[in-house]
Amino acid sequence: MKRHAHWYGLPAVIVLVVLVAAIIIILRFSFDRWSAVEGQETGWVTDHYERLVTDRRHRKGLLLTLAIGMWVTVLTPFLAYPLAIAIAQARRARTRRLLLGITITPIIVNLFILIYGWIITLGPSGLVNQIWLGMGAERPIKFLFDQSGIIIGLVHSLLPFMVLPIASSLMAIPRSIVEAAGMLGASGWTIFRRIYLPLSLPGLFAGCLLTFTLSISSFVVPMLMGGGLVPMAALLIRDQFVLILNWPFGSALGIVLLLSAVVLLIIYRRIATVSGMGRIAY
Amino acid sequence: MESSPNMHRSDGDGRAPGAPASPRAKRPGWERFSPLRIAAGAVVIFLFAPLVVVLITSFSNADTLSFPPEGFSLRWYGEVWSFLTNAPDFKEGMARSLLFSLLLGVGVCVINIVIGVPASYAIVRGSRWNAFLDIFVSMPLVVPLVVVGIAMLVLAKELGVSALPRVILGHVVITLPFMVRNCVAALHGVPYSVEEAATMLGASRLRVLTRIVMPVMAPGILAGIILVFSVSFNEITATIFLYSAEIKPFPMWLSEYMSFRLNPAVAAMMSLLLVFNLGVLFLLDRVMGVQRVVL
Repeated sequence: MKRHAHWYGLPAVIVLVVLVAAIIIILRFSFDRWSAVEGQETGWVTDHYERLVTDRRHRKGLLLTLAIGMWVTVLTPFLAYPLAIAIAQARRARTRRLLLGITITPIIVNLFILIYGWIITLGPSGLVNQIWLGMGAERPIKFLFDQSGIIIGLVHSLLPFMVLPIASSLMAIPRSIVEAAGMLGASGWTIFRRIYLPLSLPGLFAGCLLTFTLSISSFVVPMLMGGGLVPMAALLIRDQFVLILNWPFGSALGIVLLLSAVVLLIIYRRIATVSGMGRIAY
Repeated sequence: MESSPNMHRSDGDGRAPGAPASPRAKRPGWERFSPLRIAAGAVVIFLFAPLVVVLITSFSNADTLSFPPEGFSLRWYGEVWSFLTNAPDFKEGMARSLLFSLLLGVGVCVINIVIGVPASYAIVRGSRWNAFLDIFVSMPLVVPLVVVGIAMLVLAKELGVSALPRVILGHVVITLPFMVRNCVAALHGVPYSVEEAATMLGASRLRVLTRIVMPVMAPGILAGIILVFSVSFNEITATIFLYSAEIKPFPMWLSEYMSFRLNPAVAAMMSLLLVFNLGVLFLLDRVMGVQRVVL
């Protein structure tokens, strides 16, 4: 079986070559001329890339995308660490499995359900605002059609991509180190600060790269939570392809998004060690 | 588990009856570390809150979305049932889109088995190009889904291909890495020498394939199938660029319905979808163990 085994990958390679070809077409499109009257014309111009920087709306959109990505990346570890530590500390295999199962629900459950749940919870008359107004506030907090709702939705949907790398580097810490610290009287906080945090930094960094990459290319969360009012990069691409029909400009946006993702994930691949439990395919 | 040999001894050795458990046997105080437990519990609540909210809303008896609902009924589930069976304008749409999504998922799984399983064999057992193949096959993960969407849209336009092939191709490209990764993981578990031994003992190629390679890969293939079906069934981002009025997967139908009507019927449909999703998670755990599945 083995002698010719390397040929067995051929069908998969052919399918993926189609994807590469499609991306090359987009790359080619991004240099085409385009005008609202005459439509797309073959050419070699860099107008669309220049427009990303000069056009105010799109420059703002891209900066906003980066800002939201940063917020999500900064906030997610605060939620990820408790869960990751609980996974790593679980003594019984069943507890650990249950926690892992809970952790990956956002990957398995349809995004519409997550977002719809948040829309009901965070809306102007939703649960959170009922409590907020009940506490004597004058105006409801605006989560929907705003960045804050998008950030909450992204933190939720991307949490597994932060928890799993952190948990897998925590699991590599020998239990004896933690036990020794505990017996010598270190408090939980000290153990976290002096052992867990420093030894899980590679996992944290890997998780941050994944989270940032996935949040700057997110589409469904900003589409529904932002109601089209928060122009994140993927939505700008959709507008060009579906509404304005300026495919060359949309392609240029797509290429920029693709390149950023590729660069970030290459760095991720360099540092991430695929080990431990709850493996991610990236 | 990771229990040290000492621990077993202290559990078993002749401790005086009634004496307090030795400090090693019980959980040290710092590990009970209640702030951690509270924090982890809060995160779990954060993860489940929106799902529970959708579930509760689906049992509402009100006409509009309000949470918490004033009264409970199965009214909206009845409404969903009538969408599926007799409401004239939705009968076509919802039932058709569901059926289409099911068939699409099955088709995508079949294609993945045909191209993904041999590819993973090549990655693990091949004598050449393994690293290249490995990286190439996981390439789609690096491409943002929006870009997969527009790339397939543009390609289909250039080739003059209709909606069905572009949706299928898009889904195959997106799901392929999941099938391959899981099969690779399963195949790594058993050394090649087992196959070699069988061959030397005179097993035919077919016999090696059916009696050794397939059983070894089975958990990976099964986990891959479940995951591929689930990803295809839930896919939204790329599909938005690729679907058409005739070729409409269920999430697309749902998003169109949601865009002009937000009532508890949506919550009822989502609750049913949620049950399906959690069933997938349960199955994945059964088949391969949730800690070994590559997501």
